[in-house]
Amino acid sequence: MDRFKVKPLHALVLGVLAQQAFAQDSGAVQTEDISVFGKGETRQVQNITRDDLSKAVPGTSPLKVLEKLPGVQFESADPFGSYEWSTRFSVRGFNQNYMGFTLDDVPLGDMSYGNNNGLHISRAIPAENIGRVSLSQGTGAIGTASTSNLGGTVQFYSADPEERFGVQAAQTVGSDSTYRTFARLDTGRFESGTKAYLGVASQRADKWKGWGPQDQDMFNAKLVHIFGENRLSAFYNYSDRKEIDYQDMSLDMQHRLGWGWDNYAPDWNRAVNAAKGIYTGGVNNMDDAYYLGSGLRRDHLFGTTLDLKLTDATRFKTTYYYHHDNGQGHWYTPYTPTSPTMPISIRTTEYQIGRNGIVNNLTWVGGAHTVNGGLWFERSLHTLTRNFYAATGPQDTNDFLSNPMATGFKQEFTTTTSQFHLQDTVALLNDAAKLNFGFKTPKVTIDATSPVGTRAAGTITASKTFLPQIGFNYALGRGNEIFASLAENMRAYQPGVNGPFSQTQAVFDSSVQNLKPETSTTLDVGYRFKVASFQGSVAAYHVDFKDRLVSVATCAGIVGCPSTFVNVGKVETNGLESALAWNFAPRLSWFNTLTLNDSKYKSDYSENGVVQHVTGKEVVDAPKLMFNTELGYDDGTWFGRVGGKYTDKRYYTYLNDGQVPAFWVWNMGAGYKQKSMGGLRDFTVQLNLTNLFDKKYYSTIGSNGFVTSDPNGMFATMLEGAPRQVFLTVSAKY
Amino acid sequence: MTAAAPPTGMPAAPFERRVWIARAVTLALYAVFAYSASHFVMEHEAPPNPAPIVVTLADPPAPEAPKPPEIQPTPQPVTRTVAPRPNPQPPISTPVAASPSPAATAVAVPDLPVSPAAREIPMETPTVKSDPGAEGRFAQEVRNRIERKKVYPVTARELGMTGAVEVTYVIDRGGALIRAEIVASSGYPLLDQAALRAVRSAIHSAMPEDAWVGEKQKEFRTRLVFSIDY
Repeated sequence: MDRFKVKPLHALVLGVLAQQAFAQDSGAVQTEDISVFGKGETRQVQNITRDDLSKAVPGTSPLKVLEKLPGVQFESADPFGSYEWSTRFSVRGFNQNYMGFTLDDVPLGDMSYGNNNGLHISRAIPAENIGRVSLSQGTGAIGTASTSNLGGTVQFYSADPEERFGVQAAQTVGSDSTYRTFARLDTGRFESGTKAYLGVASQRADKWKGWGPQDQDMFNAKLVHIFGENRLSAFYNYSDRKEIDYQDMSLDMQHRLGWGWDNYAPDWNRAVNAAKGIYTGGVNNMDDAYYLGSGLRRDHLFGTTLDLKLTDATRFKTTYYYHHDNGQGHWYTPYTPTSPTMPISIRTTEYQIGRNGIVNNLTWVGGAHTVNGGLWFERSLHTLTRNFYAATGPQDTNDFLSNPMATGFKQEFTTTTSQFHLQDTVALLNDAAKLNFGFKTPKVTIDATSPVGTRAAGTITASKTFLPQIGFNYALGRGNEIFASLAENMRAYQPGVNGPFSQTQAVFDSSVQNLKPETSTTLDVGYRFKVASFQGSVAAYHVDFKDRLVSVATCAGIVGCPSTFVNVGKVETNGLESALAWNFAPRLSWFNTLTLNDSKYKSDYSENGVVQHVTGKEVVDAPKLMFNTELGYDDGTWFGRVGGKYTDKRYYTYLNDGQVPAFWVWNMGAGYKQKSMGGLRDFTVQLNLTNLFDKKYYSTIGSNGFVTSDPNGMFATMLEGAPRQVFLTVSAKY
Repeated sequence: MTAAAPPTGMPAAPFERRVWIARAVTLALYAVFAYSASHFVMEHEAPPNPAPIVVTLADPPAPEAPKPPEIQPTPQPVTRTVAPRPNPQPPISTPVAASPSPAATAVAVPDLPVSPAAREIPMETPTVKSDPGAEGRFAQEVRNRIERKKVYPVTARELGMTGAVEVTYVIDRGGALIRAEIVASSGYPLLDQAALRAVRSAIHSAMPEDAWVGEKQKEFRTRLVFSIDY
C-alpha cells in the first residue's frame, strides 16, 4: 500500500527548492530605477514648467514668468507681477483684455482690474501650486471657455497632489519688508485612489516707494480621485487681497517731481491742503497726488471636473465651477468733500460677482479622426456701485466699507454666455501630419439695469454663428515640424465699469445700433526645429482686427467720468516671433527669444465731431522689438539664472505724440538644493535679485487708459518699474 | 421481525479509514500548495499573456524554509548538491509567450549520486570566474534597454496617473526574456501594464562570459517610476 509514503512529487519539489535556494546564490539583481516622464505638451517653447516657476521669486505671478516666451510682453510696478492695478500682459500686441485665461479649464474672465466676469490668476491660485502654463498664441484651443480670446489663450493647470504624504513649507524675506510664507500638506494616495492637498500662502510687503502695504492671504485645496480610466478632481481657492496703490505718473510729473514721487499718505495735512488748493514742493495741480488709493478683493473659486471613459473610443469631460467675488477700490478724492470743513472723501467702486457655469466636452476617436464637441454655459451676476464715504483723518480704512454717505451710481448686470464648438483632428500621412479644423458659436447677452445714477441700462448681445479655425502640423522627423493655422475669433462685450454700459444712457442708445463685437482673423505659419543641442521655433503671423472698440478717456482717469466707446475700425498686425534654446554644455542652457511686431491702426475715427487721423499710427503699448535672453545653470545641487529683457519704445497716445523710452531690465537668481538633508527632502536656499542694475523705467503704461493726444505729457497713465530688490527664500519638504 | 442490517457509511475496517484520511490530507495539502503558489506573486489582473505560475526568490534563502513549490510534472528523484556551484538545473519555467503547460526536460539532472564532498561538473570551461564589474555593466545595459522602450500611456498621462511599478524578470544567458511579472503595483493597471510591456519588448544582448558564471539565467528587478513632468 502506498499510504504514508512520501510522494515522489513532494521530494522533487523540496529538492528543486533546495537547488533553487543554492542556485540563486547572488539573488535577483536590482537595477537602477527608470524614470518615465509624461510631458503634457511637446511644444516646449510655448510652455512654462514647474521648474521655471520655482526659480522665479516665490510669489511671482506665472504671467510674469511667461514673459520669456516669444511674443509676450509683461509689465508691472511690483517685482512679483501681482499688483493688479499695474499688471499688463500682452501677446502680439493684444493686451490681456483680448486674451482668454483658464485655470483647470475654469474660465477666469479677461482679468481686467475692474473685474466684472472673472478674476486675476494671482487670486485664483498660489503660484507654488501651479503645475504648468500653456500659451497658445493667435489661435488658441478652440474649446477654451473664453469669449475674449482674440489674441490667444493662457491655460493654467494646477499641480496634482503628491503620491506620498508630506508637508512642504517655504519662507521668503526680502526688500521693502517682504515676507511670504507658503505651506502645504499632502495626504498622499489612499487605498481608494484618492489624494489631496491643503495649502496656505500669506504675503506681506511694503510698496517700494511711498507708504502702504500690499498684502495677500490665500487658502487652496485640491482633491484628485482616479478610478479605472476615469478621473474626478475638485479644487477650492480663497483669496483676500489688500493693496495700497502707487500714484500714476505723467511725463510732466516725473520731470517735475522725480522718480520717487508717490501719493501723500501718511501726510494727511498735506493732502488736505492740496485739496484746498494749497500746493507745496513742486506740486502745481490737484492731480499730482492724492492722499491714497487702494484695492480690496476677496474671492472664492470652486471647480470640479469629471473625466469619464464612456467606451473605448469615447470620453466625456465635464467641469462645473462657481466664483464669488467682493471687491472695493478706494480713492481719497479731493473732488467730493465730506463736509464744508473736510474737502476729501473716500470714493469707492464696489464690485460683486456671483457666477457659475459648466463646460462639457465629448471626444470620439474613430480611425484617423478625433472628433471633439463641447458646450459651455455660464451665468454671471455682477453688481457695480459707486459710493462716497466720509473721510475724517488718516486712520486705516483699508477694509470693506459700509454706510456710504452718497451713492454715485449703481448697476446690475446679468451676463449669459453659451458657446458650442466642434472640431476634428485628422491624422494623415502615417501620423506624420495632423489637420485640425473646427468652429465655435459663441453668444453672450448682457442685461443691465441702472437703479441709481446716469449710466446706461439695456440689453446687448454679441454672437457669431460660425467662427472657424483650421490648423495643420507636419512632422518632418527628429523634432522638426512645420505648422500653419488660420482662426477667427470674437470678443464679447464686457459688463461693468469699463464696458459699453459705462456711457450715459443717451450716448449708449445712440451707439448701440452700430455696436459690433470685435473680431480678429489670425494667420500663422512657422517651423519648430531640433538640431543637436538646439531647439527652437520661428513663426510669422498676420492679424486683421476689425471693429476694435476703444474707450477714450475724456477727463483725468481716476476722476472717472463716463468714457466714450469708439469703434476705431481696423487694426493690422504683422510680426515675427522666434525662440532658441541652446544646451551648449551639460549643465548650462541659454534661452533667447526675439519678437518683431508691427501693429498699426487702419482707420480714422471721430471724437466729439472731430476726425482723428490715426491711420498708419502704431498701436498703443505695443513695442516693435522685444528681445529676451536667459542663461541658466543647474547641476542638481547648485542652480542659477541670469536674464535680461529689452523692450522697445511704446506710445500711449493714438496719434503717437506721447511715448516712453526703450529699456533693458536684468534679473538674477541663484540657489542651493539638497535632495535630502537631516530628515528633510528638497531643502533649498534661493536668492533672487530683480532689476539687477537698478534701472529707472516706465513699466506699465495705460493704467488710466489711453488718450488720442498728449503733446505736453500731462496725462497720468504711467507706472514706474520696481527698483533693484533682493529676496531670500528657504524651503523644504518633510 | 428480521435482524437489523449494519448501518451504511461505516468503514469496512479501521485500516481503510486511515488510507482515506491520508489521501484526503494529501489532496488538501496539494490544494493548499496550489492555492498559495497561484496567489504568491500577483495581486492584480493578469497581463495579456498569462505567465505560468512561478516562484520568485529574493536572497539565497536557507534551504529549510518551505516555499510554495512550482508544479512540475517531472517525477524524477533529485539529490541535493552541497557544492557551492549549482548543478545545471532543469528549466523550471517556460518562455512567457508559450502555452501554460511546460515541456518537462529532465536532461540536466545528473544520474550519479553526489556525495557531500563531490564537486559539480561545471557547464563551461572551469577557468572563467564571475566578474562583478561585468555583471554590473550588463545589469545597467539591461536597464537601459528597457528604458528605451518606456512609454507613458496617453490616457494615464492625461488623467494624471503617477506611481512606481516594480517588475521582476528573468533573462537567460542568450539574452532572451524568460518571464516577467509585477512585484509592486502602482495601483493603476494602465501603468502596471505599460511597465510590463516595456520590460517584455526590450531586446537584450547575450550575457558576457564572465557574468554570473555557471548560471543559465538571471533574475533582475527594476522599478519604473511614472511621473508627470510639468
